[in-house]
Amino acid sequence: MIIADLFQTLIWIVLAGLAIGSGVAMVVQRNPLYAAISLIGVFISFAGFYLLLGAPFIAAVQVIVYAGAIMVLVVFVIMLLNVEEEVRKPLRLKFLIPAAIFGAAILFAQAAFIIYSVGASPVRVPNADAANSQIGLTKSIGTGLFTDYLLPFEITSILILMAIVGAITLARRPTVLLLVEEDYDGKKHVERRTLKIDNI
Amino acid sequence: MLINPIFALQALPVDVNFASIAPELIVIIAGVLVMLVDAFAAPKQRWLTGGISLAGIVAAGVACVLMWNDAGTGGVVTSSFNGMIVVDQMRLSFTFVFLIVSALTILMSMLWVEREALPAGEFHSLLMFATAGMMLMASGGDLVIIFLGLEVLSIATYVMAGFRRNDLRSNESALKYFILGAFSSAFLLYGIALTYGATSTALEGGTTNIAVIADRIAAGTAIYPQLLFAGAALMIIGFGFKIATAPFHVWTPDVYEGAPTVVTAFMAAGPKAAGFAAFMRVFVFGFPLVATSALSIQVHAAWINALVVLAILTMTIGNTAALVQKNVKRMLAYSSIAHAGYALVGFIAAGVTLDITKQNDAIAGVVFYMLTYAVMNLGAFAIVMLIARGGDRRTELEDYTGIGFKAPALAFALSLFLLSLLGVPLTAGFIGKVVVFRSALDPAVMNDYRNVMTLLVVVGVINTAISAYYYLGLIVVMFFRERTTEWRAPRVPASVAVTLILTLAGVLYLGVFPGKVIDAFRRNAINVSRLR
Amino acid sequence: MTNHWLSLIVAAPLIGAVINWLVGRRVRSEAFIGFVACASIGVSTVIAFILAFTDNNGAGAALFSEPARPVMSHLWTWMEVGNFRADVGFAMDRLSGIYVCFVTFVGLLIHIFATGYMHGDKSYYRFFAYLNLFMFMMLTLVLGDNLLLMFVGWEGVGLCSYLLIGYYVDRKEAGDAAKKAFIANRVGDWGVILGIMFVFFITAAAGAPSISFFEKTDLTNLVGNQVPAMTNAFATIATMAVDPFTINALIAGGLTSAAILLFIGATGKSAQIPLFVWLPDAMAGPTPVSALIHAATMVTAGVYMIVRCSELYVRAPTAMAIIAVIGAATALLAATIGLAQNDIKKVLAYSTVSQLGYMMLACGVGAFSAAIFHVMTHAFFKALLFLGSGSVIHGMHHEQDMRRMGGLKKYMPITFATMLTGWLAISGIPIFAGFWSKDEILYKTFSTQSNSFGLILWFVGLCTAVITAIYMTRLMVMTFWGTERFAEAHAGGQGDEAHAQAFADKKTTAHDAQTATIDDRQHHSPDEHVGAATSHASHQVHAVHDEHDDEDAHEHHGLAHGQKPHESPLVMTLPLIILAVLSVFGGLLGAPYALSLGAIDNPFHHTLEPVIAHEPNFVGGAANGADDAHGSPATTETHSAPVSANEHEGVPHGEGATAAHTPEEIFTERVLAGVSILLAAFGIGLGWTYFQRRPLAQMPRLLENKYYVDEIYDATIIEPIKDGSRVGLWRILDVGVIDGIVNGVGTVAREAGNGARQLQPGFVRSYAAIILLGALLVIGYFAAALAR
Repeated sequence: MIIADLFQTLIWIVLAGLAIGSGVAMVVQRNPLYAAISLIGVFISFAGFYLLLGAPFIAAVQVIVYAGAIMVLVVFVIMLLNVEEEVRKPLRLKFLIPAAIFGAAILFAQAAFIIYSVGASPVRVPNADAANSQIGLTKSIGTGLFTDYLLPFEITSILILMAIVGAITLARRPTVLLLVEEDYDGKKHVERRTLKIDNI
Repeated sequence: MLINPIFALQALPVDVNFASIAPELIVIIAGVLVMLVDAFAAPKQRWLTGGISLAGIVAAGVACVLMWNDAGTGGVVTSSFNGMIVVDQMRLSFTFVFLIVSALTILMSMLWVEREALPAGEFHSLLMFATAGMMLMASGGDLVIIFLGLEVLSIATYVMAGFRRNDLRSNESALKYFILGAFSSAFLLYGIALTYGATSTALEGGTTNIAVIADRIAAGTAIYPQLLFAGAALMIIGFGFKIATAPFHVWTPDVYEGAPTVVTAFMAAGPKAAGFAAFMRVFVFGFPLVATSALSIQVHAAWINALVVLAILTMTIGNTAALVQKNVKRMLAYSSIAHAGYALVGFIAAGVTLDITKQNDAIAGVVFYMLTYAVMNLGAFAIVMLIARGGDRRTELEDYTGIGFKAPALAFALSLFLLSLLGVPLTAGFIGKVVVFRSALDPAVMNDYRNVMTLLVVVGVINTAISAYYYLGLIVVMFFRERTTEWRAPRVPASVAVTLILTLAGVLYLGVFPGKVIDAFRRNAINVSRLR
Repeated sequence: MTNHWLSLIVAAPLIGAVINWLVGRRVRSEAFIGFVACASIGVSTVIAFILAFTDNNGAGAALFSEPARPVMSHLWTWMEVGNFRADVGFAMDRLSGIYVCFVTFVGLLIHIFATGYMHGDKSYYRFFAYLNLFMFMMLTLVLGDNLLLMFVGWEGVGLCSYLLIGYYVDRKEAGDAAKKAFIANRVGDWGVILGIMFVFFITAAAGAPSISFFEKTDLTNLVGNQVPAMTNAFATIATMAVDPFTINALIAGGLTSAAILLFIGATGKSAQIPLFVWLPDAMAGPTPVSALIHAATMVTAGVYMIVRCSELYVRAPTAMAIIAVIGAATALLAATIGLAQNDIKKVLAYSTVSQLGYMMLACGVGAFSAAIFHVMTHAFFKALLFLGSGSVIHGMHHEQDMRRMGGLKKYMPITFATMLTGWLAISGIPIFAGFWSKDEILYKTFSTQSNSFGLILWFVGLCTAVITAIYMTRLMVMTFWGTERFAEAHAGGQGDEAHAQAFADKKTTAHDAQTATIDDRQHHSPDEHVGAATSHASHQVHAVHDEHDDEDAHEHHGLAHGQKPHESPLVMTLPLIILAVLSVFGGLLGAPYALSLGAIDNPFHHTLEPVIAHEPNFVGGAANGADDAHGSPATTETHSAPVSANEHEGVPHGEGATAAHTPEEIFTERVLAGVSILLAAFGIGLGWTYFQRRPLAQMPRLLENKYYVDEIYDATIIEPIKDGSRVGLWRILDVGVIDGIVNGVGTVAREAGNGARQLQPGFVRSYAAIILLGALLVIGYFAAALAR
């Protein structure tokens, strides 16, 4: 048992290092493609966390949906739009950098304090042992979706439908629009405008 | 032997009850119908989609009224879908407010979509989905539903804010709203997750059901109570963003100024009210004070105190910043921030009132406040839209110079709305403020918070005095300044005229005969904390 | 008892306003508009007098019914939240009966006067619609049967005052004055609304939540349904103990807090320190407005409210002391400023502030009936003085600077004669109305027992009386006596200041010595005025003018065409004459026993007595109170009865009244009256001898500049708020502006052509940073709460 625990801790440390490293890399990278690939690294290490916590289904979904589908889409967009490497410009809001570091430090301290308080709590959880938990398993998620969470599941379909409508509305092919308006002089101005992608 | 949560789930079949979500269903179906009709109808038929949307809203309103009549009499379930949906007075009153907001927005939008040749079908369907989202935020008895409702609403609003695609301001508004909105949604979601974790018990996993959260806090069975503090804090941030409390209000002026005026009007009235509905549901019912539980006392004190500070900040920043604005839409944006602050006073009052009847009165007060605000705000924006002309170009204060006697009807109507926003007696705004401040000073307020509530009311009333300056400023500009350039009164199309008549009537009716509406909002109130 | 005619008193002016607004603007006939406006007030006046004085339905007149019962008209329940209920209903008891009678009557006279004064104005209908609307609101204020409905009227008169001060819409200073008035009132209003809440919760804590002034039982509404019963808030308060006389009582949340909050509102509406600054500026409105709103009616609303809530105030000695001190201080301060003003209306405005100070002083020492009495007499003589000054201004072609008047008595005999009575009345010469009321206030102040510094207050009041006599004499002398300075080309630099106040944009034209060639009535409409002035086509104007005046058929007109001032038409002088008669004899209603040598025993006071509060420590005690001579067994008996104090307390009118006048009291009262008569005569004499010789004497700069109060307010309050708003703290939270300055895109450029405007200058990342900062604070607070 002790060896298994030790092994788990070891894997956890490796994954955590990978997640943080990829996250930092993603922010720092100037080439968007590299940034995207760093993000994939973050997602993969998260999938590892889920596995460690005994939630194989979520781990799989993480890999398939995030690291797979979404990132493929992102990479395609980057390639199709032919996004250039970012040229470093002089920072205008320099004061935000120390502020951000300071803020991050405080946030970290707050999080650490809360986690510490939880750890200091005398109550222990009987079924905290990950191996016994049913949460995160395919079966429990499926059951949940069709019992307690039936309605949220259905509402999600509305959400997605609306996202599609919105995306189409905003990203429709360039069209010619008529702008009819009446100005102070009472005359009607009719203006034809061609929408181009770089107008948006 | 541990009880397996899965078996517990299987033992509870879903109590599907479509009657309990009838208004939401009707609105969603109308939204889908609008899309279908729009796809097949001739492109010029803009009235068609608006008409269908209006019909849907009226039908939903009828459903809402039917449920209202049954609520509390045992005719309708009080919760359904395993506690996901609740049917109580607060939900129904808020739903009523949302429907009014949407109906008026549709009427206003008729002119706009035509004038700017925008895709009416998409706009109306998005508006209907946004309405459904708002209604879900009010009806959700579970954090998951509330979050989904908020996302449905938000995504629809992001798109609507950027609906005028050929206008950079509109695009910018949408983008800013989207980025910051997503940012704040993350806070909210993280807060929900932490609350879920915090409320795990020794036997079961955590819960997102608001009533159960309250129970577990009260009973002391939650095993990670410390996480509750972080969860509540993060949820305050998420909701605070939605209702634009300082310091989470920063997005408001830019987004309101850049968005098309119709959408601004909608955003200021609808989503804000929806934010209040969800915010109150989660905090008043999810984290109530239970005298026997030390944890509950601690959490309750924390969120009340945080909100008190936010309310004071919100009222003061909103009003003082509005003083120097030169753009009418921006000024009204800051005014809307200030109004969120006033409504927060009623919200806090509901939080510190233990007596259930009084608490329901306080909640009804907030709903009534949101109704009055919606009516006068939509009216004011309808006129701003008319005066702004095509492309929303004329929204600076100087565009209003001396129009008082050139377009007397519009200028007087706008003055009336501004006076109502200011809170002059015999207008809706006055009654709204009285009702909210009354509940804050009610003797039923817990002793510990008497002074704090008095302070809040004093700050609120002083702020109304300050707000006289900028509301009157606009009136002075309209009536007491000479206009040197040529100006013609805009045409008032029928749909906008109807909007104006309805809102004017509303402002006066709610100001002179508010009794019936307030009564309806507080009648048969069912307290959600008793629901499952 | 129910009598729905009462509602018509309130409704008639509203109907008049609506007709004038909807029909009058199309008809554009001055006769029609004037008729509608006056007739609607006339209806109110007639009904008010009938209800107040006649025995309607056998239930007794509102003023004299025994026991005192109000006439009530409940219309509908306005709002009902929990146990908070506010009705739309009206009630006329003895207090509101007196108030309504003089408000409608004086209002009617001023309406009639205005039909002449506003002749030729291009938006005549608008003026009368506003004026009628004002009457509607004022009557709502007075007749409203609960605090919240009173507050509706309170805000409503403020709004109408705003509309009317800013009536000359094309003058910037009118708009600014209007805004100043409204905002000063708003500052006070927060006190009223909080005070109302406090009253409600105080009564709720006592188990009878109410904000109603009256007990409501056995009432029917318009359709004949029974009205739910309602308790009288002030009867509940009347059963409470007196608050201690300490500073802490102010913030204790009890009766004193409620009282002081309501008083804060009164300082705004009744122009007391520190909020009095708006009233002098309000003179930018037309003169009838000044007479009606800013002298006779609206500004006394604060006094009305305090007397209405007298049960509350007598139980809040700290508040009473503050009111008395502020009242006395305002009286003195305003009187001294009035001494140095050169604009005739400004003198009267400061005089009004000063007289309002007297009324507050009376309230503060518990002499509520004296306060109301002074409100009434003041309404007579101050309306008279304002209308008289309006007549002078009218005759002088909108000249308001007294330094350009002089010798007018020859040209305007009626105006002169009537103003003479007003002058004597306000100065406190016996027989004239002002004497009785002012003297009663001074006597009550002298003999007050509600605080220990009555003597000081009395002395301040006496000084004010002397100064009042002096500045009114100065006004009269400068206006009516001496050399005729209006003919001189008096290009005084200082003169422009006062002149500019009322007529800034026409300064040069009006200043012109030839102004008299242009018919003054056209001045009301500045556009036409300019036209007439530049073309000198005055004869055309006269044609119109004369045509109209034929209807009035009076001989004064035409006396001084050309270079001379002229007397005003009959529609204007008739109200003056009536008011002058009232200013002479109106005071006899309240002549006290001692001074009338026993002939009259202050019937005004006895009428009012059952509805106002007694100092609790006097009630039931020996008859040692100043004039609470009715501490007779009858009072004690009825007071202890568990009925509404407002309605049933007090003795029947006149019964046993004289018995309680002890010789000592009579002696004191006579001595004090003698002192004040002497001082008034001294003031008049001093003013007369000094200003007859030197009418243009330079007054002290400090006084002329009003103690620099406006400047001090600007520098200490208004500018800091504006600056704070412009560059202050909030900008840290509105980074958009900071970024905008950093990037040099602070100004928003407009490109009307393609509808695109420059991007708003806010950066999303700054916004996100602020949100994050806020988030850190909130989370930090919760973490701290967790640690606790």
